[in-house]
Amino acid sequence: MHTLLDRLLEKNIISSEKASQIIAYENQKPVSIFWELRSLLYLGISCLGGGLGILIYQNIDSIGHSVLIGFIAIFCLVCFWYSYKHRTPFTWEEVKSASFLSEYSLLGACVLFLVLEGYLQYQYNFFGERYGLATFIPAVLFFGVSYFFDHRGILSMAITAAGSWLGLSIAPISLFKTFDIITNDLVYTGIAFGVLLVLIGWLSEWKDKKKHFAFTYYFFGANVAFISTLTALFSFDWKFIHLLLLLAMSAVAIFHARQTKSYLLLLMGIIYGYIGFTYYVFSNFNFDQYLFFSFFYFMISCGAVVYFLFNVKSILGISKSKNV
Amino acid sequence: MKAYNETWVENLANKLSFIEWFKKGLISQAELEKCNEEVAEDFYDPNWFIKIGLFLFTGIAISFSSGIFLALLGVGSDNITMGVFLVIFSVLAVIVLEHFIKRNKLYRSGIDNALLYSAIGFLFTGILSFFNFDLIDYLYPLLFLVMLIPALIRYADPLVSFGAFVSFFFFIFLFSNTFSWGKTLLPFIMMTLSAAAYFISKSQKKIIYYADAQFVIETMALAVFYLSGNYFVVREANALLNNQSPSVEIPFSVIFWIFTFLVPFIYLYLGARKKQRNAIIMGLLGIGFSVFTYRSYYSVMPIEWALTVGGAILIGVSVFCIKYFKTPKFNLSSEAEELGKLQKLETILVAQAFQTKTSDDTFKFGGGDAGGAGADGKY
Repeated sequence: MHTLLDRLLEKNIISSEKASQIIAYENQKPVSIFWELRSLLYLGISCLGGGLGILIYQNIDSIGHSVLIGFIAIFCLVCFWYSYKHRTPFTWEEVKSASFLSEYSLLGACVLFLVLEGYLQYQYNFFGERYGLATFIPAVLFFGVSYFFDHRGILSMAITAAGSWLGLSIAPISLFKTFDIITNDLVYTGIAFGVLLVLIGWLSEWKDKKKHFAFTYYFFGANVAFISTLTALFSFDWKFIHLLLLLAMSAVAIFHARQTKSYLLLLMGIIYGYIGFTYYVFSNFNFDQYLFFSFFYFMISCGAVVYFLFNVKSILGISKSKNV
Repeated sequence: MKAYNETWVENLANKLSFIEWFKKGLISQAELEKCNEEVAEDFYDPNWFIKIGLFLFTGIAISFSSGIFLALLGVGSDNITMGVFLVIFSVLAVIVLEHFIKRNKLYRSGIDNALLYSAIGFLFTGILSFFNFDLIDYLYPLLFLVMLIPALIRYADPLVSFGAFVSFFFFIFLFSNTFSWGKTLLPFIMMTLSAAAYFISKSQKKIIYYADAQFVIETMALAVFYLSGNYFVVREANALLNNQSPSVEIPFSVIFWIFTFLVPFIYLYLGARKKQRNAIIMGLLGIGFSVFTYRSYYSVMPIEWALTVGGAILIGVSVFCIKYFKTPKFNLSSEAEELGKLQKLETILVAQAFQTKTSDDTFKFGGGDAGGAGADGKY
């Protein structure tokens, strides 16, 4: 550090006053334990939740269901009320200075709402056979809450709730389990839902309304859309049409990177597109007799992808600015 | 000696401090620009997502291009021939790697990482196949270590330093087990060596080129030091090595109990004093593992109560700390350094943890079709 400052001083880039300020800053600079404390808090919440869950389960006979439901409802309302009291005024921008406690109580309120709903259905068959309603209500509520309080965590909960309303379970890991039982409707709903999410994300970026929500929309939307399309390609007829659809989506993802210089969608588009294309190639040509050709296929195609990624900026005509 | 342009690597690190100073208002925009001119570097530095893609596809390309030759030549029956080819692949990978680093100014861009790791992998399996994959067990990690050290010196890759560290301690572990006194003294040998590794790495300061590799080694050394003094680890490892089941009380158990509970707090204290974030994290993890260790042998309360009380205490402590360290104290601060980056990830994790389970499997798309696997009365 000091040698660097000496060099800058020598060349008169910074004044000696500033240099001593910088040294003072470097010496008193604290270590940030923000993420450590946050992880501890999450861990504590999970432990407490799990422990209470077991305790209640063991003593349900002496507590009684209605008392318990009442407690959950009251807690849920208290949490909502706390966040509402400590809210920052609504804006379409990102809220920077939200107090962390109200953030967590909001999260707690939403989780408790889900628990309450499940409990009511389990014990009293509250929603009867109208299962759709049971997922539709939290989806609507969470979307409203996430926009009102500017909470990205709740937004992803809202998206997963909306997904379950459509019959898809789209939390990142269970996404792959969704298509265990493949039906036409489910797959095409998945494609439409994913595309819709990506569109919403794109709109919020374009119109500058809650721009920072775009990443969440893109992440869920693109994954759902691509996995649904791949599933359609793998299990339905009209393979060529599905391949074209997949490649079109990849092209859109790549084009999006050119517009916004963000590369998440580009990477997804290339990986999913490559899987789909490779599947199509192998399902149409019999490589059993020409083992070498399959090796050459992978070698050449991967080399081409590497070449594309390496030169992506000049190929797409993105100006070469370094991103740090 | 060093594969990457060392001045550029240093300049890359310096640039980050300039940006930090600029964000804190210590230097002006004009000064920042002048500073950045002073520390010019021209590495190929793509976006993180591009790096992931490059790593993935380079890896696949390498494995299939080596596969072509192995399949073409029909080897596999003869270990010596296969070994020769693997060593040739390794040399080729290093040549390509060096060429790309020079020509395309790569620096941890995914391509060079993939080439380096596969060169190491080819060489290791190649040499092993010369020996028909039939060595005394402690020679495997030793051989790996001997290969990794030159790679570490030349490329300073964090993952390579991780591998070198692990193989060194794995070697010590297996080698000590061949002596009866080695078995008894194993915890102390491991503690001494990890402490030595930590302090040797610490004393070699101010080489930015190796900063990341050193960071990995120091963090690992802290972890190994704690674990080899931990009562649970010592007792269970001892039982495992002597084929006892269930495990029995170990000699000098008091010493290990003291280590178990003292070391994490020393980490926390020194971490705060010396501003070492990795020591703080290891201290926190260590406390958690120490509690687990104690509970494994002395059950104080049933698990549900332990979870409830522990969870409540954790919530209380972390909320208190977040409030308490709002204004920095003891070199610690609960304010975020950089928000944006990790927060995006957090939202995804939240959805994973608290997903809407209400319709789990009981409801499939298509209206009234409420059948399927989970519709057994539970909602």
